Amino acid sequence: MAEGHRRDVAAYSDLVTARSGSLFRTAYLMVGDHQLAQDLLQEALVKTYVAWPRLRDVAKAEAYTRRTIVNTAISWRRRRSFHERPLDVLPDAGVADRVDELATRDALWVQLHLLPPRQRAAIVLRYYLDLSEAQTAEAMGCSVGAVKSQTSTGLRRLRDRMGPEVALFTTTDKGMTS
Amino acid sequence: MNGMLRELLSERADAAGSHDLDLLDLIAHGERRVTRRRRVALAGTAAAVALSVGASLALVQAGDGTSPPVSPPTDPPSNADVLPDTADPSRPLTYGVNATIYYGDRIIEAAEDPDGLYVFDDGLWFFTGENEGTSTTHLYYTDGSSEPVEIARGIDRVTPGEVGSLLVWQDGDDVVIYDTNVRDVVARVPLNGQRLGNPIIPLEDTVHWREYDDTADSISDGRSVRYDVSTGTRTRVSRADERAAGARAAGPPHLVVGSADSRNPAEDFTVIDSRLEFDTDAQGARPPVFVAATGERLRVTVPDGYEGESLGVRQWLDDDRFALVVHGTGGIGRVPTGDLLVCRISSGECRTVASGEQDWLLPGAFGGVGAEG
Repeated sequence: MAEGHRRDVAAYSDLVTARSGSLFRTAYLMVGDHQLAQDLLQEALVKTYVAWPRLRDVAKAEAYTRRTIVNTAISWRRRRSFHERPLDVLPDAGVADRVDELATRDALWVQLHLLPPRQRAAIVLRYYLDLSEAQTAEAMGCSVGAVKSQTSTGLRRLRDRMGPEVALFTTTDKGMTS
Repeated sequence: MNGMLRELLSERADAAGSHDLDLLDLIAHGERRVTRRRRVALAGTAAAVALSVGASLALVQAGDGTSPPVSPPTDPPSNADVLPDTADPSRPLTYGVNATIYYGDRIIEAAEDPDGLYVFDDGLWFFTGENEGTSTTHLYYTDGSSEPVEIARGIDRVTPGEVGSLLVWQDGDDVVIYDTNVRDVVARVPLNGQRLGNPIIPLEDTVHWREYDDTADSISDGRSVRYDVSTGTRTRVSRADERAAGARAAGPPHLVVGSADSRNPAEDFTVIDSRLEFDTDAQGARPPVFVAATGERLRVTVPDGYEGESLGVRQWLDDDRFALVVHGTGGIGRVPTGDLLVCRISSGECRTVASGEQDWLLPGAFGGVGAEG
């Protein structure tokens, strides 16, 4: 093995060791299924391996892998329809006020995964990874305007489906929801 | 219930547990994919040469005021033949007939006849309008289930990186480098001078081309340039470096002729006794063909009706499956106008997936790779 290639493999190994846990959690939030998340992470990390010769930096590579997770998840959604859930697990929109918080969270989780994948991705990147709109745009490969649109549409759908009693955000979050 | 969305995301992410991916397995997967792309690149390079001939023939036919009859595939291929193997991601059988693109089991209707098809892990890129001048060239992307989206227009010299995820083109005086994994332009590099007719060669991490200033008298006078995508640096390189880049883009062959350790690719075959046999060599002999990865002799049988026909490998779907097209008899080289077949090395069998005398458009580097001068 050439010395340069050996260094690349070592650096790639560092990325996988240090960041795969975090990347897996992002993948899981994107697809909502443990096995699919693992498949998604594997695919993204293999793509990152192929692209490594021009990344060669763990921070850069992590951003690349995260972006690949988002793009691949969107492609897989179209190809495999993995997002589709049986309707019998869906609560009706007005049920939120009649069940306890745990059930409401379950309902919100289901509704999150019924969103179109770009809206879901925008919400996960903004509110789980705390990326700025510009960083989210970079991760999704779209404009800041598109991020704003995808996020606000996704949040509006969640509010419509969960009912007005369910507060999606705390007061301190509110500044980020516009 | 305040702050439910953030709490929910954190809670579910924490509860997701851990993955059990194995680092060595990931690296092995990555190495296999790099190797496969290098092998596929060879088929793409050969295809580019044949396509150029095919394009010439198409122009001749158009000049005659006639066009070949076109029919859809008469024998719809089964999913197993044309779809990627999901256990080890590969690429679906892809071909175009006029404005219709068959991409695995998806059918895409382009606005006009495509001039180039490029299949990457996340979908299909194609361009139209090549013969109408660069101002009307359009590059599109589709994942197969959505309407094609225009990525760029007014561009020239679209070339896929078969060994990586890069797709490059020339836009005015810039070389544009686009990453299909993230579906975005990652670099736009101004040319120092003109590029003339030499190819742009994208590898995994670098892009090579040749530039010419006003003092250039011939195509061999240009400066060979390497652009490093990771650092954003441009370096003048030697012709030897340029040739090495071309060789690296082509990669090792998938099928080899003569012996198992040969580097001579086997791309063209004749059907003898229903088997694929290598075309005769200069001495009139038919040397054996081997699978480079395993060293085993290639033994593949084709359906009835192809005895004596000449066929060429045009697309590798994965390590086990390749697409062949029957060469037509138009009289200008080996024109891919006959049936399209998919063969499996493991089963030793081929199946006709599309029939008819038509000008197929198959994936590949339209401009080819390699260096002149």
